[in-house]
Amino acid sequence: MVLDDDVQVREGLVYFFEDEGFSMVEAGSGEEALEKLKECPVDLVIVDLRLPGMNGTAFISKAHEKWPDVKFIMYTGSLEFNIPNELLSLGCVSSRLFHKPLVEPELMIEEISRTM
Amino acid sequence: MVSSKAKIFIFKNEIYFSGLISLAVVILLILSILLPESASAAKKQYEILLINSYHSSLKWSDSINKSIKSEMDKLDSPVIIHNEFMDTKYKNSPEYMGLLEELYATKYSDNKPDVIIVSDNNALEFLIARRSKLFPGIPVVFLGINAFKKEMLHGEKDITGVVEAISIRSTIEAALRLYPYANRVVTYASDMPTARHNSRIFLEKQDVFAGRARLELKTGMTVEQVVDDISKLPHDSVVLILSFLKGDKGVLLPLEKTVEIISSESELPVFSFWDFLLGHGIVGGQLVSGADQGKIAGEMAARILGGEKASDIPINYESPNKYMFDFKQLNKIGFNPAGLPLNSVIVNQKKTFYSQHKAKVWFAVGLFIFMGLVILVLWRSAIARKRIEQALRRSKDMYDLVTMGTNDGIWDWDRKSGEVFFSSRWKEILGFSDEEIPNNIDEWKSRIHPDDYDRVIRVNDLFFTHKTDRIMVEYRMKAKDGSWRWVMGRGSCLRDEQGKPYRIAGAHTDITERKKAEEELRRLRNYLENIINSMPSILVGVDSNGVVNQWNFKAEEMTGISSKEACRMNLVEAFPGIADDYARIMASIEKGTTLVDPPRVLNLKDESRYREITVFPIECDNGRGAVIRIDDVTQRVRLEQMMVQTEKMMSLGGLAAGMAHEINNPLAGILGNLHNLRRRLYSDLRLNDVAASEIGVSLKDMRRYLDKRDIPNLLDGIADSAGRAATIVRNMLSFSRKSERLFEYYNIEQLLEETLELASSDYDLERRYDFKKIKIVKEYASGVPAVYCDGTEIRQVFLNLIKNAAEATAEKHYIKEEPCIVLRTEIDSDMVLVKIEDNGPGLGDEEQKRVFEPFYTSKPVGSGTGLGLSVSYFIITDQHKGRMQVESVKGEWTRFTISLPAG
Repeated sequence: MVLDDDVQVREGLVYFFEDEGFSMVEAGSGEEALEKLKECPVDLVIVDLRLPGMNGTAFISKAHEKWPDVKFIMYTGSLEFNIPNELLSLGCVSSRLFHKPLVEPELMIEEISRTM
Repeated sequence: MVSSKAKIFIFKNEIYFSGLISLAVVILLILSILLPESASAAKKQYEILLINSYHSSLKWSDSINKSIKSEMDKLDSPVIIHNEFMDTKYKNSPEYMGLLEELYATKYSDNKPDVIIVSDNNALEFLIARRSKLFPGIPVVFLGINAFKKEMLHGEKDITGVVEAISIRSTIEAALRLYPYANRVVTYASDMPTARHNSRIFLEKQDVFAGRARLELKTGMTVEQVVDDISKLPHDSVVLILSFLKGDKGVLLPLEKTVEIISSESELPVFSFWDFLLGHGIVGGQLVSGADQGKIAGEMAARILGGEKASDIPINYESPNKYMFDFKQLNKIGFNPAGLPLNSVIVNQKKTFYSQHKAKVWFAVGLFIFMGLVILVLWRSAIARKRIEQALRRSKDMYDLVTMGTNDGIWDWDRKSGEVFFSSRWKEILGFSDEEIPNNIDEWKSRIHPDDYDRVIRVNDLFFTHKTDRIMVEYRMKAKDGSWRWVMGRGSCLRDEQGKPYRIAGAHTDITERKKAEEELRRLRNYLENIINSMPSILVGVDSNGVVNQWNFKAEEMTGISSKEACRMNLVEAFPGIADDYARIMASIEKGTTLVDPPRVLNLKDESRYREITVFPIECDNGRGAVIRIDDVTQRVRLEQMMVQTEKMMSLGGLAAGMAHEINNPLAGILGNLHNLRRRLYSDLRLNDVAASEIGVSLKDMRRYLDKRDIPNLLDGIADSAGRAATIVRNMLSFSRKSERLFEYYNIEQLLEETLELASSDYDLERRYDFKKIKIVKEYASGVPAVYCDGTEIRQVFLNLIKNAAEATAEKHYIKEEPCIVLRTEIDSDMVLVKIEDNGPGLGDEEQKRVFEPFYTSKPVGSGTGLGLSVSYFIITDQHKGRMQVESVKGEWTRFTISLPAG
């Protein structure tokens, strides 16, 4: 699943990963993502930090409670953001943080396969 | 007689008044004695027989006889008066009468008198009975006859005379007027014939005075009884003595004696009817006067002697009584002066003396005045002398008082005698008592301070060498305790005819305290001067005319004008830089308002520095003035400017970061989709083949078409532009990055060296700016402490600055010098400074202000992002809490200074 409020960024990622053979679900907000996860269970969610409504970290906390097996990779436009230790300690979040724009999305595939 | 007694009385009284008057009177009396008396001449001689009823020592008889004699003396012819005194009060028996008849018959048988005058009833009775025998045909004049009736003459002719009647009514009237409170008149009388007669008349008057006074008659009492009786009378009584009375031994007392005893014992006013009683204690009354009766009788006798017949001269029935009063008696009991009848004769009154001795009195008064004047003159001259004496004394006293009382020591040098006087205060100033040091000039000289000696003597000699009359000199004298006392000596001199000073005197004032105060003042002044001079500000004092009166060290230092030169110069003259402000400074002094100018560039002798001018108006003794303070606030101004810059940069940084963030998403969309586009066109994705075969198009052909249409280039163009945008955005995002992860201790010098190496190997730099031709000067301070920082970022900053410096040198055309970059490290308290300086074209003021702003660049468009210095600025100020400044002189040099906290 790709969770990003920017449709261009989101679709860009979805296209990329579909081309790579992944089955993709997309969501524009944390709330929408939680709804979609109920119907279509996924293995991994790529989460943008800044979101309307609940932000990325809040979403991860909530999603992890319901679906503890789901993994998460975070990406953001902020340079000063660091992944909080509480999230890292959950064990479901990749320690590697990706920054927008993703010049080489292939790096993310490596991280996905490592995480999974 | 009465008057002479009064005279004596007055004389006595006057003694108490003034010895001078009595002296004058005595002189006058002596003078009057010396006056020659006129003698009377005798021609034809008459003889008169004067028969008195009583004896010769009676005042009554005496006054009658004197009056008659004085009348006789008026005649041209001499008159012999034969005086016979029957003394009937003593003896009046028929035998005695017979013997008197015999005596007179014998005595006057041959020598008959021309006129016979008989005095009083007894004599008239005696003569009438014997006239035909003794003195037939001789005219008779009578007087003093009481209760006269024609029958008493028994038909005798050639008789005339004057009747005597006491004035009972008038006297009572007078008594009641003089003593208005009296409402009782008590009369004492004997039972003798005349008294009985008068008593009867008295009692007849009771009706007349009814309602005003009660008239009482008491007879048959002795004098002693009368006195006793009077003492019992109420105080509203008046006593009337109507006749003589008997004494306690039954002897008849003369009327004078009777009156004397009664009046001396009585506290009531005593009245009677005969003038001779005046002086014996009676107040007075309308009195029978022996003298007046005698005068009338004398006149009658004279007329008879002159040839008139006695029978032709009518009998005078009017008793010639006069109001007469004894002033002493009136006063004894007190009286109402308004009750005195008109034409009263007052005896025992001072006036009487005056009226009788007017000339003498006036002479005496004149003499008295003259003597008084003499005394006055003498007295005045005595007073004048006394005044002079007093003035002298006062002057002496004043001198003594001044000498004693003044706080100045007095000295006095008599040059002629060589005598010297020092007042006790003079000595006291030096701590000595009066006796402790001698009065001589050497004593003085020996006490003068050696340093002052010559000066003092020189000043003192001015009296002799110059014609100075006054000197003043301040010097020290040795006191008793060995300390030095400051004195102010003043002196003046008196000169003789040759102009030589013969006396010099003056005063010593103890001015030790004043000198101490002066010293203290001087010390304080120095202290204040030191404070003023130690101030880091330029402090200039000016008066209301703008003339400098204070000029501190800083002012000297900054202007190169010494305080001595500056004082008395005009402010503008001393301080040309301030000329533009002069008018406002003077206005500030005028208005008394403090003037504070904002800092601005004020050129003194040094390079342009920011200065702040403050004018404090002050009120001083001689009017208004001001203290002008000029502070070098360059440091402060720079700091303030930097703070403003920082503020601005921070807000710009925040704005830029926010913008970058917003741009980042669309950029991510572009790049992401571009990436997908390329992959779907050119990569060997399985899905590409699937899709191509589905529509029957070979990928090979499609790619040939794309190449033909130059699509890959277009995609590269998008990628390039988006990539550049991404770089910008990343830089902008870094403005607000607050990462400390990579902080470590670095040696700044080493970081500089590494950066320099990087720069020199930078292909771009090498290619475009010929970096190797730039002279690199390194001025590293020793002992620069390590700096806790992000080495990568600091390297980036240094590289940025070195690149900029290299670029700057490339823009300038060097003639004499060569392009040069100076790298310096310095230590400034707890900061490490890194200065990177180039001798490029420099920056203008506007450029200096804006050089750190994002996207501000002086380079041609496209040659840089315009973010290099901004990023550097944020790295230094925001992430490293340091400072970054730029200084430059246009056309000369540019210097970036980075300050980083040490340690």
